[in-house]
Order: sequence, then structure tokens, then C-alpha cells
Amino acid sequence: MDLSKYVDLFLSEGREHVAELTGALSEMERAPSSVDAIAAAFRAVHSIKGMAAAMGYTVVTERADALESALDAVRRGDEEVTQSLLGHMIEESDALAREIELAVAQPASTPSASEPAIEQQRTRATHVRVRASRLDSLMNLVGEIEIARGRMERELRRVSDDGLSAAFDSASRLLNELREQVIGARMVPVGQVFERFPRLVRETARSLDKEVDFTLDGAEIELDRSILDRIGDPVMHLLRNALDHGIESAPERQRDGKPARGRLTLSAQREAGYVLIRVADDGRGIDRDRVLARAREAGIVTWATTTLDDVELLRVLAHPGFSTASAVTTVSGRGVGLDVVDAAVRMLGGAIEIKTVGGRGTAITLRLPLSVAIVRALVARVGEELFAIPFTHVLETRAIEPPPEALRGGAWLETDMAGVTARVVMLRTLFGLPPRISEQMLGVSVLARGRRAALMVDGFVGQQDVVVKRFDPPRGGASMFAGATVLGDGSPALIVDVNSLI
Amino acid sequence: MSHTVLVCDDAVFMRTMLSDILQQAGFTIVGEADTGTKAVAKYKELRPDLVTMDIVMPDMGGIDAVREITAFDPRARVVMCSAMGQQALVVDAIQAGAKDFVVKPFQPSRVLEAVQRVLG
Repeated sequence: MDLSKYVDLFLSEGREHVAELTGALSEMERAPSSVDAIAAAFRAVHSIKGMAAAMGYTVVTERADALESALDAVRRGDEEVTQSLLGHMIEESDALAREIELAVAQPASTPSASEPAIEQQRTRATHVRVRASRLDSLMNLVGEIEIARGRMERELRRVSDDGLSAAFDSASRLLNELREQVIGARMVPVGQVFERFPRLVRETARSLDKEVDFTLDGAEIELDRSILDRIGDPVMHLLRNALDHGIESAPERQRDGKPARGRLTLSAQREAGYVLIRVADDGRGIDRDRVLARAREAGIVTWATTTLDDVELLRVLAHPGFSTASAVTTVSGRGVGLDVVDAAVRMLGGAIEIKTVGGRGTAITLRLPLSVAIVRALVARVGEELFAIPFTHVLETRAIEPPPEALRGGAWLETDMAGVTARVVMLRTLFGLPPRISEQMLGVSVLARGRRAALMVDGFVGQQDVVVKRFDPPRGGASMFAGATVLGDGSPALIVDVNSLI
Repeated sequence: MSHTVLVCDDAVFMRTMLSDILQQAGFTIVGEADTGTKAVAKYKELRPDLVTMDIVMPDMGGIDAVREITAFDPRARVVMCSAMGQQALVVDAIQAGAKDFVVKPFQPSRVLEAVQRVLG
């Protein structure tokens, strides 16, 4: 019996039952003793359970079963409908709704532990569990082959043999495909990590006595497992921040003419080679004046600074140890701020963007690469050494007139770039080489931590996909490098951690 | 002539799946019902050889429906089909007049076995 033809029906009817369930639960919120509402909720969950069991969706089945038991106790009069029980049931119904979508999105990875599914053999035959470390080794091997390919390509240019070139091209295409496949094998839907957030948001909101509607979008968007594993905590932190500092209490919101219930959205979306994870709230927005005052005191900005735009704001908030929390709350804690999130995202080769409007809300976006293992980079030469600058940060390459102070040997300088003051980093000086200054120098214009800057180099080699080999920074020294790689010609290159230079 | 069946379940999904299983085994589905009340009405109208009956349905539950059907036709052949967790209701169902009990998720072989036994 082929279950796949029932998937659409399962999904459409499952959604209907979820809608009935949600409706019945909100009816119970209004009239806790409504026998009809309780019965309707029970029936809806019961139907979902039966359907999910038939499809072999164990997780959905178990979730529905637990909720069904709770509703059954209420139905039989063994349990009283309290606000906290209802809150719990609403959470569970949300979780159930998500599990239904997830189960359909990836039916095969749903483990079938208890009840045997009708077509379990089929599932067994087409899916195997693979250790994550094995996928990592595969990825590394692909990276090594990429390097070997680069070397081969150079050799090939010397001999110029048509037959060999054609063979190389087809091997090269196959390698690209292999890389896509290996990256694909490491991808998992973000929903796998995000599923715990609705509950967390509800509990946090309750402990803060705030009313919040939480929405989760794009649970099906896929991300490299190793990245996903590392963004759970940062995202949780952003959600807590939004609940604690962003969304106002119901009376405060009403006083400001806003709906009493705040809105909090966690979304994931694909954009070119990146996945954007966004936490957006409709709260009070970040208080720029307060941040500015603190930043001046802490010496993060000069006293001459009178306003902070979104870009500057992010730079300040991401400054290690910076926090505007005026009181220690059990939720966010003092001193743990955006800097932690920023550091975690940087580690992954990603970047943070922030948008905040006073009284209207804040949206923080994490821009993450699809895969950590391979990064497209600009390869530049400084002295005799080659360095890879990840494209995540590169805006353009251009000729730049170095500021006069460069002659005196400063590594971090400032210049006027298109009307704004931008930082200029003299990489030669920074790397301990004698300065070599000319009127027009080659610069890589970059954007990191919301700031534009120019990295001055001696020459460009080209652009290529580099395999990131991470290493621990030298003890005691702040690392300017995110890792190392081996280029096509076999020469090693350090991968510049652009964030750390800005 | 193949046996006629009335399939009662409030979920389209379940009715579709059950109908598929039964049709593939050569049965003719003569009707479907999504509530207990409709199940009783359809039984009276269609007089099928066999009824599959879900327990949890809106307006009238499956057990009450079986009771009414067997009151109308003591020889009615009804197989209860319900999700696990309802096994406690087996006794009620049998007392109400059901001839057998199949638990979701359905194993096609188990469904057909129960159906054949009831018809045999």
C-alpha cells in the first residue's frame, strides 16, 4: 500500500482539524465549561492522532495522544479547565500544528518507534541514518578534491591538451554536483531546532506577565546541520530579549494605542546563498538615546556623536559587554547582550543586521551561509602571503587613496569614502610588514558589523571557493583570522576574519 | 456479487484509506458517513452488508450509532475502527452490537481479516 498518495489529504485535513482544535480551545478560553467546545477539541485531536498513526508519523501521533489524554480528562470531569491547563493545551496544539507540517515535509526522517506503520519497510529501504561526523569527513574530502582540482587546472593550462581538458571539464562538473549533494545531505529544516521556541516564548511571556502572539515562519527552510546547531542559543537569546525589553506590558501598549497583545515573529527564508533568520517584534524599539548615552560613557563612541543610525547602533550593541538592561531580570540577565549573539554568528561566517523604530518594534536578522565548510572568497596578496577574504563581507574592490597617516605606520586609519568616514586597515602594517605607500592603493571595500571599511592589500589573485579549516587562535592573541585554507596551487592562505578588523 | 460496505468516519483521510483497502480487496463502497446520525440514516437507506464505524464522531458517537443500527437490524454487521487508546471501549462496542474491532493505524491485512470473519 502506497502511503504517499495520502500525504496531501493528510495535510489538508490535518490543517482543518488543527483549525477546529484552535477554535475549540479559544472557545474554552471564553467558556471553560463548554461541553461542546471540549468535545470538539477532543474530536479534532483524536482525528489527527488516527490519521497520523495511519501515516506512520510517530511524533505527531504521540503529541496528539498526549493532548487527547489531557482533553479526555477534562471531558470526563477529572480535570478542571484552568488558565494554566488551557495555556498548556494551546502550546501543545501549536506544537502539533508544526509537527504535522514537519512530518509531511520530511516523512521519512520521522522515526517510527512504537506502532508499526503500514509501509514501514518502504521507509527503511530508502533512508539510512548516518553519523554527522561521517558527513563532515565527506565534506572535507570534497574540499580536498576541490583543492586538487585547482592544482590540476593550473597544470592543464601548461600542457594545453584538448582531450585532457574535456575530461577535466566533465570531472569538474561532476565534482560540482558531488559538492551540492554532500552539502544537501547535511541540510536539515530549521524547524527541527525552532520547534522548542513557541513553548519557550509562551512560558517566558507568562513569567513576564506579557501577552504575546508568536508566529513561526519558514520552518521548512534548510540549513547546514552544524550551523543550525549553533544558532539555537543565539536565537533563543534574541527571542528573550524581544519579550523582556522589546514588547511592552499590555497596559503600556494600550496606553500607546497599540493592541494589547504583542506580536513576535521568528522567520527563516532563503536569499541567494544565504539563509536569513529574523526575530521581529512590534514592541517599543531600542532606545537609541539611552544606548548612545551608555556608549559615550563606555567610550565606544566619541562624545561628539549625537545620533546612532541602525548600523552604528548595531556596532555599539555588539560591543563586548555592552548592555542597556537597567535591571537584572531572570530572563535576559545583565551584561549578556547582543555581543554574544554577534560573536556566535561571526563564528559561522555570518552577519547580523538590525532595524529598529521607536514605538514600532525591532527586527534583528541573522544572515547565515548555507554551509560553513566552503566559503566563496576573494584571494588577495599582502607582501608574499595570500589571504582569503570571505565574500560575505566584500562590497567591491577599488583603488583607494590612503590617508597621509599611513606613512607614519598606523594600521587602523580613517578616510572619507563617498562622504562617510570609513575605517582603513593597512594590512601590510597590521601583519608586521614595512609600509609600502603609493598614491593609489588597492583596497577591498567591506561591510562588517554594519560598518564600511577598506582593507588595503598589495594585489588581487582572484576569487574562489575555499574550504575553511578552523584553528584555535594563538593563546592570548586576538585572532584576526577565521581559519586557514589551501589554495588551488597548494599554497596555504589564512582566511581573514573581517569582523575582527572593523 | 461483491459485498457492499458503508464506511463511517469523521475524517475524509480515514474514509479514503479504508475505502481503498476494501475496494482493492473487491468490496463495493456504497456509502460514507461522517457523523453517527448520518451513519444510522445511511444504513437504513442502503442496507449494506457491512459497516465500518469510527468511535469518535460529531453529533452522535460510533457506539450509539451501532446501538441504533443493531436495534433497527439485529443482523447488521459492524466492525469498529478506532484509534488506539479507545480499546477500553471494545466492551461497550461489542455490547452495543459490533462484531469486531480494528485499531488504527490500519494494517490492511488486519482490516480484511476482521471484515472476512464478520461476513463469513
